[in-house]
Amino acid sequence: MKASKIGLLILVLGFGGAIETAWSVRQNIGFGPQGCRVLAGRYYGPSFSFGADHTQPVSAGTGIEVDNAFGAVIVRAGEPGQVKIALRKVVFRPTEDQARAFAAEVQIKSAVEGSVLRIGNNRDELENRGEGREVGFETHFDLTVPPGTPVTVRNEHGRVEIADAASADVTSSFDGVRVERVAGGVRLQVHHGDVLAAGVGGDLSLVARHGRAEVQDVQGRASVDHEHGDVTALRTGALSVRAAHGEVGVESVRGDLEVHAQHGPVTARDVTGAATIEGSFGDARVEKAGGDARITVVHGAVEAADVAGGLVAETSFGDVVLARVGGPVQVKVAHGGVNARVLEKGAQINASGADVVIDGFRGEVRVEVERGGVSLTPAGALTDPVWASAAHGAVRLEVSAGSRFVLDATAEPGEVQVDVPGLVLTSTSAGLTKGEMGGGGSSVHLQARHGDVRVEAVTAAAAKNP
Amino acid sequence: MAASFSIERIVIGFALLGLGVLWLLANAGRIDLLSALRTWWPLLLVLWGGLELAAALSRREARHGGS
Repeated sequence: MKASKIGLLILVLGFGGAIETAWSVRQNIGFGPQGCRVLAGRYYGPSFSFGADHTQPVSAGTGIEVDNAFGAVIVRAGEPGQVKIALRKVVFRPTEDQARAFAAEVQIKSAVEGSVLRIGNNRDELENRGEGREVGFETHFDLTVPPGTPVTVRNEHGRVEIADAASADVTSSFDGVRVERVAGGVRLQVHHGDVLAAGVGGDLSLVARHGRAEVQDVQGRASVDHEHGDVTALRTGALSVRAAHGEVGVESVRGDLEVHAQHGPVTARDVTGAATIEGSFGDARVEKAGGDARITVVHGAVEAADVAGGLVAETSFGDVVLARVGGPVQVKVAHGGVNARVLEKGAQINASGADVVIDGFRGEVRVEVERGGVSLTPAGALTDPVWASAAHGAVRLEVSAGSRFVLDATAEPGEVQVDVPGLVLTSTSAGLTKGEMGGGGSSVHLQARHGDVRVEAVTAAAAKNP
Repeated sequence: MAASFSIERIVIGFALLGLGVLWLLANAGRIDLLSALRTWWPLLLVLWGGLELAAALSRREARHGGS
């Protein structure tokens, strides 16, 4: 074969290869009004909208199940005895004629199977055909159903809105979901979209990822499992929340509250029952709980106020702040301090890293602190046992008139100072003082290692610290 | 009849002619150039093959005619 023939052959084949390559590249990369797109998206470019309607008679109590993708599903209450289906088709084609021709092939599918009306479209059939694979089209359903209809929706890449249904079961992704005024139970599974459930007459179950979750006015029990987004719950029955990577805000729970949260703060207000919160890498706050409160946090502060029952709090790398607790208090803090006001039934506190201050307590108090001091002020006359120990900090106790106790105070190394009218010292030596007030009574044991111990009358302390 | 023409030049000539016509039509908005080239470029191989066959037959006739 002549060299010229070989050369020409290579030239022709090279030209053909270049054409084929350019063709393949153009199928997957486009340039258009929205700039360069690298993925071969079908929902791109000019689009045209067309409608289709269908009315399906149904008997009372028939539920509806909607299966859709790439379009919204809106369900509202309408007239009894029939389901009106309005389908809006949005077709992405270069010309309106081409779009109309394709839209004519997009059909509503509606069939009654037993007590359920199944509604959908023929997207699967169209996408399995040659041209259908290349054309982007959206199918938006707007349904009016008889009042009190149970509704089930499976949708993706389109928002879902349901109102005035008997019950709702929604599985959705890549867009928001809004469910309102449902007489019975609601079950929601939503990924990559915000969720709002408001006005639920029965129980609520919500599983959501990547989006905001809002729950309001749920008469029954509510259960929320959410990651990567904030959770807000307002006016619900007993509530259970499991959350990660987002804030949890709860208000007005009729019943018990249980929250397990990671990497996000938790705030709970007005819980009629018990409040149990477990969290990490975020603060936990409880305001007004009708029952007991149990708060366990890793790497976060704890705040609790107006707790009618007892309180158990455990945290690390954060302080504990308490106000007005009606029941016994038990607190454990690592790398943080405690600041408490008005504890009605005593306290047991272990802390390290900062001071413990209790202002206004009744009942037995036991406090042990490492690398911090202790400051105790009873709510009235001191008649209950007190045991306080501080290592590398001072211990300070304020005493009011009418108190009755036996004092045993040691400070080594350190100094014990007692300045309480009516407190009779029975023994004093370097770093050790014993005495009694009001003729004796409960035991008050104060111990400071590498710090002083001061026992003062309330008026004396107020004068020194106005 | 002996092959008195260069097949390669004919193929190149037709290729340039075809490319020019298609490009002109694309510039006039009648066709999509890349789509048309992708559809029709194998015709060059078909044309070339046809010319080679014609030349080979012509040479065989010339040999038989001569002998």
